[in-house]
Amino acid sequence: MLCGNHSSFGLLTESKDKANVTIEYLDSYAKDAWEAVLHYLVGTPSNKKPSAVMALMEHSGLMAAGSGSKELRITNKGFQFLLQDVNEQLGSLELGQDYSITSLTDTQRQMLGIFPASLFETYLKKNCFCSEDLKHLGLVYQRKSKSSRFYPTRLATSLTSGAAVSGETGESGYIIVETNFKVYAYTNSPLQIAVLSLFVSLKARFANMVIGVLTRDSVREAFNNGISASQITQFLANHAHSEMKKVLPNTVVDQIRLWESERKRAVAHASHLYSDFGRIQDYLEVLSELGYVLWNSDEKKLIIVSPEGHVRVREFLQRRGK
Amino acid sequence: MKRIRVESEDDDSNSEFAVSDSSSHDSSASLEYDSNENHTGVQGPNSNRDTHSDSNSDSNATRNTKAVRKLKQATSQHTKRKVTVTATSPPNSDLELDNETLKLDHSLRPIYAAADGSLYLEAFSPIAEQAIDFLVAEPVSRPKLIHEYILTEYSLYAAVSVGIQTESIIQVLNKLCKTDLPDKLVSFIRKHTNSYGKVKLVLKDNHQYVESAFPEVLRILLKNEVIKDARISVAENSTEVSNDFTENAQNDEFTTRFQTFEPVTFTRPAFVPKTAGSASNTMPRNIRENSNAVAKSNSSVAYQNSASSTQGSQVSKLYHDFERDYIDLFETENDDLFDEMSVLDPFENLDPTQIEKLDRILSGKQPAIEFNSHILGENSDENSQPFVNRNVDETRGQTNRVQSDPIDLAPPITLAQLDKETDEENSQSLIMPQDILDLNIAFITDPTAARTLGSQAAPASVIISSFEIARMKSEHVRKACSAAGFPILEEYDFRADTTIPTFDIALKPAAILRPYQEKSLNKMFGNGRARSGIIVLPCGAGKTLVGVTAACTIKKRVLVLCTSAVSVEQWAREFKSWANVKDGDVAKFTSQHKELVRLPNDNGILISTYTMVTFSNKRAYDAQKMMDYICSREWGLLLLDEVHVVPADMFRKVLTIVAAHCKLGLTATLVREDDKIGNLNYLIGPKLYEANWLDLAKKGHIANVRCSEVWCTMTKEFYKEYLGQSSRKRQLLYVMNPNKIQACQYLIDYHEARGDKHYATKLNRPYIYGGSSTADRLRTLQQFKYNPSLNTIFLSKVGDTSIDIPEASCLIQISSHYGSRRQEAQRLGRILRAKKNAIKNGDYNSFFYTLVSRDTEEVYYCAKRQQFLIDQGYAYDIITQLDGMETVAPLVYRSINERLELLATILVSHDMVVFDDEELEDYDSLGSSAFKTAEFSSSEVNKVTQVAATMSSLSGADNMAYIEQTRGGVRHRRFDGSFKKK
Repeated sequence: MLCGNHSSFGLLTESKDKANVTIEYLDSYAKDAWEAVLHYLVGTPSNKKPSAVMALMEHSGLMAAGSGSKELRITNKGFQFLLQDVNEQLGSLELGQDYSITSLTDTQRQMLGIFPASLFETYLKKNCFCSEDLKHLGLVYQRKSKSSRFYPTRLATSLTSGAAVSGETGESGYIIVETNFKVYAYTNSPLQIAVLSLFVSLKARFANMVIGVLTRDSVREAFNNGISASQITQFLANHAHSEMKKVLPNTVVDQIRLWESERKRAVAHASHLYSDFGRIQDYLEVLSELGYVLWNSDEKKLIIVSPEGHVRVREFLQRRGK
Repeated sequence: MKRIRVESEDDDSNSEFAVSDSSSHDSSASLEYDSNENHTGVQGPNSNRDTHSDSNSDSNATRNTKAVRKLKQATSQHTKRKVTVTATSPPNSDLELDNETLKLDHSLRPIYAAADGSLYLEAFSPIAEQAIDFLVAEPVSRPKLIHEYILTEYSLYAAVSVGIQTESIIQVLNKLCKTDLPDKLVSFIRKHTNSYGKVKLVLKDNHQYVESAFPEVLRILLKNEVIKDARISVAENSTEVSNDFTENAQNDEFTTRFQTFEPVTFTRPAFVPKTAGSASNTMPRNIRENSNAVAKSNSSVAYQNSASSTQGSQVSKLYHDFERDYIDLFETENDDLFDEMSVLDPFENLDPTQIEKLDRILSGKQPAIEFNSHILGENSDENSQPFVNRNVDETRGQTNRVQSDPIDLAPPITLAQLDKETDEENSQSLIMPQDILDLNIAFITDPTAARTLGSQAAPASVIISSFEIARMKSEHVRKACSAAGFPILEEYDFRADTTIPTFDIALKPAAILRPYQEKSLNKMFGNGRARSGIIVLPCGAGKTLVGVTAACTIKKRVLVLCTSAVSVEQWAREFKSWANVKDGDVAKFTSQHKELVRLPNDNGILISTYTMVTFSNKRAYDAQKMMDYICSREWGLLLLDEVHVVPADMFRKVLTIVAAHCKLGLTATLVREDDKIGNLNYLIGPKLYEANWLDLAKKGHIANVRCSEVWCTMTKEFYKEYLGQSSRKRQLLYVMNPNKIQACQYLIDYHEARGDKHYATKLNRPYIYGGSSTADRLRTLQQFKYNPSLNTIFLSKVGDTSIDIPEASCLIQISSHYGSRRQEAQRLGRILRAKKNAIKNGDYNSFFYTLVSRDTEEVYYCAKRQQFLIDQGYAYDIITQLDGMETVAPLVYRSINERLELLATILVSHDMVVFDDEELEDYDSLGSSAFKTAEFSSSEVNKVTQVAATMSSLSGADNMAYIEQTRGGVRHRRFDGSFKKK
């Protein structure tokens, strides 16, 4: 669909739109749209779930059909996605091969990148680069579905120019993490609360604040969802309340890291357990003659051997059996 | 569920019964929820690395679901009325949204209040400090930015007992809160404060009286069998009625008397608070007369009133006393304030109806105090000029509703005194909500303000009714009163007391009280009398000085009880260094000093230990004499050091033996693993003050400690053995983990190189353990203090509390007593005393290491232990690997052979001492370890060496074992000893 020539990308328009579309409006539009997308992801029920967006989610691997149901469910990648900031999210969202950022030509990038800096009173021609998807994602704004004017929002421009979506994310830090592992988040946004609850066990809620605590269980839950320790700490640091001065308590960071590393302490190796030896001699011979015994119990007459040993022991016992 | 629905309907229909019913239901549910929260709080952050808490976390999980279910039930009735916006996917999102309407200026108000009594305070708010001063709640956790408190019965009891009133609590909380206070919370506060503070227990001439300004309350109480039983009726004792008491014709009526107030000044002049700039003590003559008039008119009101309400009561010489007090009171005031106050004669405009009203107030039937609000109204009009007071009307309206305990007539808010403060705030151009500006929290809580308060409150002289109870039964009475919802306050009007001779003692000029010490004392002496209660200050924050100052204020005979002979010496030293006492004035009563020390003029300070006083076996002749002496005297002040360590039974005994007017408990850690803390509330009194550790550390009053947890992996051999052993041997194994010893050695080397003085337990250094005599202990401590080549000492459990080693700056904890939070805090306390090199750009100047053997039970206990300090805002760094430990030469136990040898010795020796150990185990049940310390020191001073021997053989000496082992030649001497015994 994107064939890389200039015109496929739409054209700048010189004429003024009747309705006055301001940058602020576009920003808030983009924000709302993007939040809605994230809401689909965390599974907030809403009346409309544009299939296009759902398809995109599935395509990007953020959601997948659960076993036995058609219902799409969030994947590990999706969980990780939620913790990223908008820029990262945009980057990792695969707009499909056709729209993939990498497939844009330099010119196209340039164009999208230039627009916001100069003017938003721009439109892109229908049937070109834009599609319903982009609209739903909040990358572009279209006043009416039949309108031929398209306004790229800051999301779109950051996507292409690589410039951070600043200002648009709006909310300055809102999370306070204390040395006693309590988390206080100044927010009433269901989305933010939902994201927090991925790794925080929430305890109480007030009009503009939720209170939770980082526990081993809650964090392990997050690990099981494929979220990493550094993603959690990064997320907390990125959204740290101004009183925190952007610094998380060391204890908390260390502990989360340790919780992660404790999952890696035990390493599984294949091995084979032999029990119920017919005769005591068999047990002793297996034990003494073969060099592959990993563990044994004289009381219970149990022997565990390595896979290589398994072959030998089996042969040995078969010989014995005869 | 059905039942709840019904209730919630009732709720809507505003039936009062149903409301209270449902609220009680709710609170039970949220209580459950809360306990769960605490539980996970404990478990959460740290239990983590524990491999042994599986069963625990299972039960946790079930409890969790239970609690959640309950919570849902509780919330279900709210969902009808409230639209809660929640995301559905996360499991926790259906949390109750407490109060969805924020005040418009909510960002300026620091508190979130939940209906279950939890309060969350933004410690970074500009008015946080004031708010904290006011907060009548129990601190749950106090880290840097957001503090958690919980309003409990006890905390409200404590608040009421320091003179804060129901409506003030509600009003101030409401102003500090970002939303309107939840109704449930308000009714909780009402419910629990209205009955509090109405009954007092007074000791007079060695007789105990229950007194109250509300005769009905006494009547209610007397319906209780226990109390009735304890009562000694007036007729039987008519000969002993004192001046202020008037005999009553009717037997079931009470003795009545008047009570007035005068403010207290602490002995040191510098203590006088700097209220306003111009403090001149000379008072114009006319004003003096004026105040006289006030006093006169007032007491005549009181007189009339008394005549009408309680028949047959006489007004004695009180009038003159009153007048004198009243003038004294004003003489300490500054002029500005005085002008404004005194020109108003509060009773000038009283008409008969108002007197009638007053009458009703005094008899407790009518809570409103209109004459007071009248004063307040004029006052605020006058005083509010510097800032526009938009809330005068509101304030007045609220005051009209004030349900006031006449004993502490306190107009809640708006005072001249505030001007300065407010101006300051204004000049800082802080934009605060007007009503918060108007709110003088200090006024409500701070007795400096209470003095001002006194000037208004004084007119309200109150008729006190009382009856006498048998002293031996006073504890039962106390308990019964608590159960009946009227917890007893104990106050001591020490200046009016002439039965105990005054003991001339004053602070030396060099003794400078720190602000928090002042604050805590203010709470104690807030209304001019001495309240019994507990003051909680961190270790090393100068508890002793607080005790000494209290003694200097009361100026009566003092009995100090502490936990060990060593701390007896320390108290004696402190008394001598802070106060102007002569040598003979301070007597010690320990096993070494048990000769009958008669205090000169029968007056002075006696210092002893709990065990010495409560020792129940036959005593030596000398000691018996001394005890008789103690029992026969009335003590002005009973100072209870380290009040947390002594279990209730012991206190009970102490309190029945010692007749004291005022009891002051001092402690750093009011936590116990068992539930014996609650008892302290009725045994001693409410918690008057609790300091914030982190705050004191920040201000340099105590050392800034860096806490670390060092993980030591168990060596292979040890761990293998560990897995197969019984729990007691396990303990020994994880304590004796060679890696731990190495880590310890490494840390000692490291810190000695840095020039830190040590306080730990190992490796060719002197040590103190249960078996050391007091003299030995003192000598070792002196050495540590002054000998530059001696930089490390080792202590066993006996060093946990009360040993004052200001020089120590680094502590390595090798073994510990299970999950005792208190022990952890107390040990940290040893190094908390502010260091000379303190406050260098906020660096840490003390170090606290805990060595933990990885993958053992110890990890679990360790996490539990830390909880208290974590709640105080401390953070533990986790050190998994000590850098460069490998390269430091020469560590002990490097070779595997050495280690195996050690292992073998442990296993064998332990088998042999296992019996002794068992005894200890019983003795040493969880949570009472420090008590044992007390017991311990006394048993050894009472020449019971047997216990010391068993102690040293293991548990008290799990640390000890170390020392022996690392001393090469004499290795395991202790164990050999126990072999022989066998």
